[in-house]
Amino acid sequence: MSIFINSASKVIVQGMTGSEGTKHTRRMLASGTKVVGGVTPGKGGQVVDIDGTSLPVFNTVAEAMAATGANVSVVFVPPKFAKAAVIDAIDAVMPLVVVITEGIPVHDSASFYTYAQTKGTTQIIGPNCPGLISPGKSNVGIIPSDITGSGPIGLVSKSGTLTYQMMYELRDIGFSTAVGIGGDPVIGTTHIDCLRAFQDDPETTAIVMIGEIGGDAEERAAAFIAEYVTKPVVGYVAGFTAPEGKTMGHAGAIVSGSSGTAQGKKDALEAAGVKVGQTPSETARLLRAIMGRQQ
Amino acid sequence: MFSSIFSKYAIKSTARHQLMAPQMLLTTPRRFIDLHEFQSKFIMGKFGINVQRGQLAKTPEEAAAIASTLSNKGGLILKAQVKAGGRGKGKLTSGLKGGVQICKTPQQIQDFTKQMLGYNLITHQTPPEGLLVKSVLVHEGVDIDKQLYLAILHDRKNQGLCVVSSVKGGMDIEEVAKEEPEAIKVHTIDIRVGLTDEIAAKVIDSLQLTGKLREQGIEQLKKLYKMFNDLDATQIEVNPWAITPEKDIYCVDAKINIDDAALFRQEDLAQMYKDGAGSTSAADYDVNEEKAVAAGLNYIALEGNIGCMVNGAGLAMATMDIIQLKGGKPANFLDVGGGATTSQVKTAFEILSQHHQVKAIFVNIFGGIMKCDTIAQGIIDAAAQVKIDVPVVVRLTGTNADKAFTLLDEFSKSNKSTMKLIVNPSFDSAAQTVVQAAAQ
Repeated sequence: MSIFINSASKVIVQGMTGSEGTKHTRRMLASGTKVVGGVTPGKGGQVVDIDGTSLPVFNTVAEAMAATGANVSVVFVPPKFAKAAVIDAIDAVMPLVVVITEGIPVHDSASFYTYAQTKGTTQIIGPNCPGLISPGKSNVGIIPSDITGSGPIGLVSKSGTLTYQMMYELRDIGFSTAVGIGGDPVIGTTHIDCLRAFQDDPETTAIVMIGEIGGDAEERAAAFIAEYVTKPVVGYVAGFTAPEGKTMGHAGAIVSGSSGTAQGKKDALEAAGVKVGQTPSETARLLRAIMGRQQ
Repeated sequence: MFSSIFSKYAIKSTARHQLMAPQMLLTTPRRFIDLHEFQSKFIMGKFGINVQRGQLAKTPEEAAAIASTLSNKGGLILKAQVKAGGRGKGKLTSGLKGGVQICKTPQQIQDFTKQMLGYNLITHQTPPEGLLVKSVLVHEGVDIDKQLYLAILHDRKNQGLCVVSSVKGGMDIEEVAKEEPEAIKVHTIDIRVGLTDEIAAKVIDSLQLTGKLREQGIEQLKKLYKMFNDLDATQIEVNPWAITPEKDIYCVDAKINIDDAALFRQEDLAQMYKDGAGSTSAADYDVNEEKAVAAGLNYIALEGNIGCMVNGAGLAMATMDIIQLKGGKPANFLDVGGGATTSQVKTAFEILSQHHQVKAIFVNIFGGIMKCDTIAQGIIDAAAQVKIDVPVVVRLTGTNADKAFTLLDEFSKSNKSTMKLIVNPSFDSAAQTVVQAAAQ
């Protein structure tokens, strides 16, 4: 098992005909992902050959789903057109939409997020995230597939490269799924959504949660862990030495009731029984100790 | 009654090192547009929001001419335009005390302007030498009966918007939150329906406005909400939202944060930002930050002596943390991003080597999309053109790490550079090594 994606996931790439889309379609195919087509408005009917795989291009997500049976969409569309692309996927009732694009205006993200909430039929991951990987089964996004293989650890992280670093630290044990949720102010899937899915996933036996300064997602995740998660969770928070300052502006701090500092997040996680490492490798050691695994 | 005490309320134009730097760290690649006070007032005026009448002047004569068109009933306010807070308490290099002056006559405005233009204003938020004043804002003062607080912002918790209101305006709102949390009200807005009449009325009623003021308050709030959406703002904070004896409500001071990701559709703001940056002294910006921005690098100068070059904001922060943990101090935050070219790496190296405090450089890369050999080639190119006389500790893992190590090894043996290169594939022990190297 894994969360959100599995070996049966059929993936379409929105923005496949662009340079980023093409590059990452190639990488996803090479890591065994079932990419079944692409969507670029105005280029419907074309066929793109990527390393020997012929992929049909559609004008809309609905057409792509009807023709290919796709159940996951990954979005590489430039920021200007990203909102329309995600709305198209939501209207087509695409179950999972992974938005890799960086630099989407917050007003646009908030708009497509609330639209998806209203419809209630699409889960969004991202934007501005590396996507997710269930090693050996499916790789949706830009996470390198050769860091490690499949195993019992579930990972959820705001940061891309820290995801890779942590997968590398624990490469001998392996992962059920690693999810990069992104660090934008508005994101579709939160730490809590992933923690719940990992708790409910029989293949996952331990969870690593990586946070960063800013916002109060980690504090809310800590409360959720205390209430719902019985599997062991270890945490890591980056940004202890970030320059001091008003992290979110006055009003933001008041609304969230959180200082947004790394220390505040660490304290909240520890209060919920989560062991928090000071470095990625210490975090890995803590998890090994809990799992009874020698390096 | 508070009379014309606006000198206290220098607009919070977010000196970069105070607010922007951590913001950048927090939200990775996002920067906020940083506008001058006159620009904020001009924009608000365009949206029909009540602001004090006034204009920007670039000569003393111009300042006096503007003043003569304004009502001096609530006083005439003169403000040096630099992007820094604390102007009222600041000092000009002409000897004048206060970058904000309350005057009665156009002649006074002209005299004070002479002592501002062409001089540097030093405040607690500026560099020690201050910032050059190239223009002044002249506007009407208004008498204030009561000060309120109002903010509109994105609400991470509800992934929507909210309005924050308080009857305790004119002071630090975080203090109010601590002392009198019941004096602050948070109203959630569902962006699918927007600011409804019902919520607008609720906000205004929470501020205890009645009669004519209640109507004006609702109307002004709706205009602020429209501005928030139309400008792709991430936050608008009005403090004080002031009530005059004539029962009018004014935005006396406002902080407007704009999402820079939306600049592609905010052309006027982009232009305004460009113009604004131009009227600020170069000293306002770290030269290296400018260079980094031009090269598409995310760089923030810090106080320590270990230069850092990392890919990804999360790993960059983790690198700074581990340096501190090992007893060292990072000299900067530098994220070269996910797809850096050799030329970007070269620029990054130039920036690090020009930072005079740097005693050692730490390159920490997890190659994914980014190939480690690209980084290695960038280091080699930089070494050929820039004299790097501090030790460089390189930690590379991931895509093409082997190729990178071979390149660096060959380069070290070739005597093409005197650069002291230490390669270490482990994050922890590389950090230890660089801290030791910097201490020597």
